[in-house]
Formats: sequence, C-alpha cells, structure tokens
Amino acid sequence: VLAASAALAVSAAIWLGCLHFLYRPAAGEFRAPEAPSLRARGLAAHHLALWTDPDSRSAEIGRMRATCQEWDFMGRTFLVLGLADMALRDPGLESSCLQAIDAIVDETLHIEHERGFTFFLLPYGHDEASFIAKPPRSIFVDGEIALMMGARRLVREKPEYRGPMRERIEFMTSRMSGSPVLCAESYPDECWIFCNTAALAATRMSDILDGTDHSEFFRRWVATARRHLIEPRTGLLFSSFNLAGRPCDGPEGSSIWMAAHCLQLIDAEFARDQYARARQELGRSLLGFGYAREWPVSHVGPADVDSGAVVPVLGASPSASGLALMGAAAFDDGKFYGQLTASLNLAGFPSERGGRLRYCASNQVGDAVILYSTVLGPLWRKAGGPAEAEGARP
Amino acid sequence: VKRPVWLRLLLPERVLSPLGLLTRAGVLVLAFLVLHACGLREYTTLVTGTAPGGGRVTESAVMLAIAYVAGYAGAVAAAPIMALAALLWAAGLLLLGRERPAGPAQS
Repeated sequence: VLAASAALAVSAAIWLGCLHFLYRPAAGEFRAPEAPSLRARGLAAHHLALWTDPDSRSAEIGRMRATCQEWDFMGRTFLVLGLADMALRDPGLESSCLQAIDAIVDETLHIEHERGFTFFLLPYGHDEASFIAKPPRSIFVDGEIALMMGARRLVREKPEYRGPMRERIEFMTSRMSGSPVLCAESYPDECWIFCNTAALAATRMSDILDGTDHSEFFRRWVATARRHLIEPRTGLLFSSFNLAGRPCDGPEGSSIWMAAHCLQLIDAEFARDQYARARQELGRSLLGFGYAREWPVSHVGPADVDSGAVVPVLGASPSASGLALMGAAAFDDGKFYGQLTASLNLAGFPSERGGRLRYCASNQVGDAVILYSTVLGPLWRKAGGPAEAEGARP
Repeated sequence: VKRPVWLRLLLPERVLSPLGLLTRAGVLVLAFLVLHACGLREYTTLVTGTAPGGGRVTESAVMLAIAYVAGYAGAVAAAPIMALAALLWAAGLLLLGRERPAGPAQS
C-alpha cells in the first residue's frame, strides 16, 4: 500500500504539473498576428453555417432561448463584432463577413420592430409598464444594436444604418444624461454596467463615423462612475444598480471583462485599472490552467443564468471565463490568455467537423465570444481605442 | 467461483500491483471511449445551463453530462497517473530486485 501510494503521489505530481503543456495552444493557434487564425476561421465557419441554414439556426437559438433570451441577442452582437474584426484583418473575407453582418443586423431590427425590444429580455423585463423612464426602452437592446451598426459601418459605411444609428445614440445619451449616475435601464429600474458601457462604446464609434463629439459626456460618465459606481472593497464597477445608483449586484465576472473592454474606447487608463483589478480579484490559474470567478472572494453571490454552473471550491464560472478571454485579448495579457485557452482546450470539448469548429461545453453566444477574442483588435483601434487592443498573442 | 479469463485479464484481483494499476487505467480509457462513442460529449453544454436538445434541462441529461465529464477526467487525469505510477512502481521493483511486477492473480 505504501509503495502504491508513493507511486501514485509522485505520478500525480508529475502528470498534473505537466498536463497544461499538452493543452497549451501553439503560438498563433487562437490569435494570429495578422489574418484570422485557423481556430477563428473554424468558429466563424460554424456560425456562418448557422446563419445560412435556417433549421440549424432555429434549433441552436431555440436551445439558448429556452434558458436565456438574452443569449440570442448577445450572440448576435459578439458574432457581428467578431466578423467585423475578421473583415478588417483579412480583406478577402470582407464581402462574406459584411453579408452575414447585414443579415444579422437586419433580422435583429426586424424582430425588434415586430415583437418589441422585450423579445430579447428575460421574462422579468417583459412588462414595459415597469420601466421607470418613459417611453420604455432597454439600453441593453439599444446599446448593442448601435454597437452592431457601428461595427458594420467601421468596416465599410452603410448609409442605411447612418440615420437609425445616430437616432439611437442620441436617444441613449439623452436618457443616460437624465439619470443621476448617467446610466439607463436595461431592465425595469435596473441598470447594468455591461449594457451601459456597450452603449458608450457605440457612442464613441458614432463620434468617429459621424463627426459628433461626446467627449465631455464621456468625461462626466467616468467621473460619476468613479464616484458612485465603484464597489469599495475591490475597486471594481458594480455590475448592476438602480436608476438612482443604488447597487443591486456587486462586481461580476460576466460583466466586468466586457465593461473594461468597452471602456477602452472611453478612458483607456480607467479601463486598464478595471482590467487589472478584475484580473487580481477574479482571474485565477491552477496547474497552468486559467479561469475566472464570477464574484470576488469578498462578495459571494448565487449561481444564476449569468454565471452558468459554478465549479465548487474554485468558484470558476464558464461565462466569466469565456468573457475573460475577451478581456485578456483586449488588454494584451498573453499569459492569462494562454492559460485560459489551455482551459478551453481541456474543458471546452471542441468538436471540429468539415472545417467548422464549436465547443460542446459552450453554446452559440459562448462560441461567438471565443471567436471575438481570437480576432479582436482592428475594430477597436479603428474606433479610437488604444494600441493594446491589438491584443494578446500567446 | 472461478472468474472468466477475460475478466481476470481486464481486472486483475491485485489492484495494488503495477499490472493492476495499468489495467485499470486501460479500463478508464475504454470506459471514456464508450461514453464518447455514444455521443455524450454533446451533453457538456449543460455547463452553460443550456439543454442539449433544447427545452428544459432534465435530470437524465444532467446525469449523462456528469458521466461524460467523469469519464473524461478519468481518461485524461486518473488513467495517465495510474499508468505512470505502474511504470514507476515496476521500475522501482526491478531496481530493488525484490520481486518481478505481479501478473494477473490466479484464482
């Protein structure tokens, strides 16, 4: 028994210590310096196939909507951002990417028009009368639609989107300006930092595209956020709060990585500070594998639709870890990106068929986030983001 | 009761022997390959709270996902550790010259 225990202990130490070398991606496997990597192309091929085959798309979207209606919408946003970056990285892909982007944006606008913005909200947001601000609107939907239009227009101008995008931006900024914390509702009396920072990023894109200037508004927004929206123990932005600025949820991994990324277009220093804090409070590695917690150690919340199934003891969240890929890529954190992609190779259960790649442990929105993390950079740089947005290359 | 030959080869009675560890490592890998061949990889989407076929997440789907992840952990982590331990142990025994690595036990 002693000999067996000793042999097993030594073997475990050797194997577990070396396991990450087997799963660590090769240089350029996920993020290539110029053109999209093979992984990016495989993920994009899977998504484009979904958008050209109505049955497959309907099945995939239905699968997600059964759990979370938001994912249907967010999957569109991240896919559009990913395709826009692919088009900018490889001009040969521009035509097919723009065709897909237009199909996604047009269909999203059609759904919003026919079924209302609440179609993309969780059931507790379906009662429009519960929204405090009138007429009821969700900055979750407005912000991300504007972001999609902005991404499309930054790749190549589309005159049909110019007016609708400007209208949306003007409405959003006016509504945000009317709140004491310069944020608008995503849900009734519930403002999410994810959505409001996405709206800010879209506004910045509009400034670049349309020659408007919201720099003063951005300065006020950051100053207000620093004063009212920071959780004191961690220094991280609250993930949600009411219109008056009273916090609903503390900092969350499923919000902060996206918020920091969007803030790169607004205030690079503030964005980097938020990323560094998120990395310290939420980013973890174990035996060379990276993951992200949904909550800081000092603030534990319940596992919910945003966090996904949280791994006990470690507190690892699939949503937070997926979005951390985007954060690490955006802030040129090659070490963390490498650790996270090692985890993705280990526990994402990739499935590759006919040049199409997807992760079985993920879903459409998760795969879209992964795709975006593999190509992000050129779009943000075009929108006036810092050079570091060119991003991590493990 | 005399165990059939295939069972003695597959699972030697002496678990705590190099060959015992090695064969059990093989069994773990085999078990995972069976789960994989049955298409249970698709059930890992439950990690995100998404049901593989749409609709609500059922208990049976959760059990299948757990079975696949456990099988995967067995094949990726436990089996290599056991195989490596078997090799180290066998090497140790040879070096010490105390005895040869034990084969399948005779019933």
